Amino acid sequence: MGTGIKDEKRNVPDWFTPEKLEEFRPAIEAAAQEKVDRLVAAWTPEFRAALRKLRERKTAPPK
Amino acid sequence: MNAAFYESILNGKRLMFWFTSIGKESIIKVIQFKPTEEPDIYEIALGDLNSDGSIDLDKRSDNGDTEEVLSTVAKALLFFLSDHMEAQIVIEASSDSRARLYQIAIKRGLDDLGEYLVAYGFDNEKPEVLQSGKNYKKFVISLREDRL
Repeated sequence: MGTGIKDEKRNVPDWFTPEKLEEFRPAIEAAAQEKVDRLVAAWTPEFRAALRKLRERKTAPPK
Repeated sequence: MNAAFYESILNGKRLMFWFTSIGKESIIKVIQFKPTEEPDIYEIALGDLNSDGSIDLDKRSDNGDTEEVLSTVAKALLFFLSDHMEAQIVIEASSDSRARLYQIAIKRGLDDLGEYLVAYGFDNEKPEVLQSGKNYKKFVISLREDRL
């Protein structure tokens, strides 16, 4: 846990531990999912079509 | 200085990152990349984690380190894309002021990472390369095609 870009002078609040993160993870994920679901539900058909077009352009084989 | 960390989560998908925002106070920030029903399209969610386990996803922290926070988010985004190379990440601003902030941060990020990333702003639901003087509320960021 906690690999990646590291700073030796971490200043993490006392209450925050890897165990706490594991304990909170379901609630964190549920809250984020709820927000994302709300945002995605508001996407218009035009926006979805534009996203698909960008994706197709991205995944198209090189000419 | 903000220290970005990504979790070695069990599924190894690097969908959640956290870091400490150190400004007026120390705030745990959580970044999550959430898949949507559209293939390879993810939404990003950034929030402040509270000591009771609740998370504020729309709160303006005003912690005095906005630039560092946005720069750390940009790094997390790059980490994520390095593991999900086909992904496109949608960033939606909850307000006009936040949209302007994101736009400035994305522009700045592209100065550093433009070799790797491509970003579009959405104007009337149509994507376009970001232009100065225009305000966008939605952005899409992905790896450049030639980096795949």
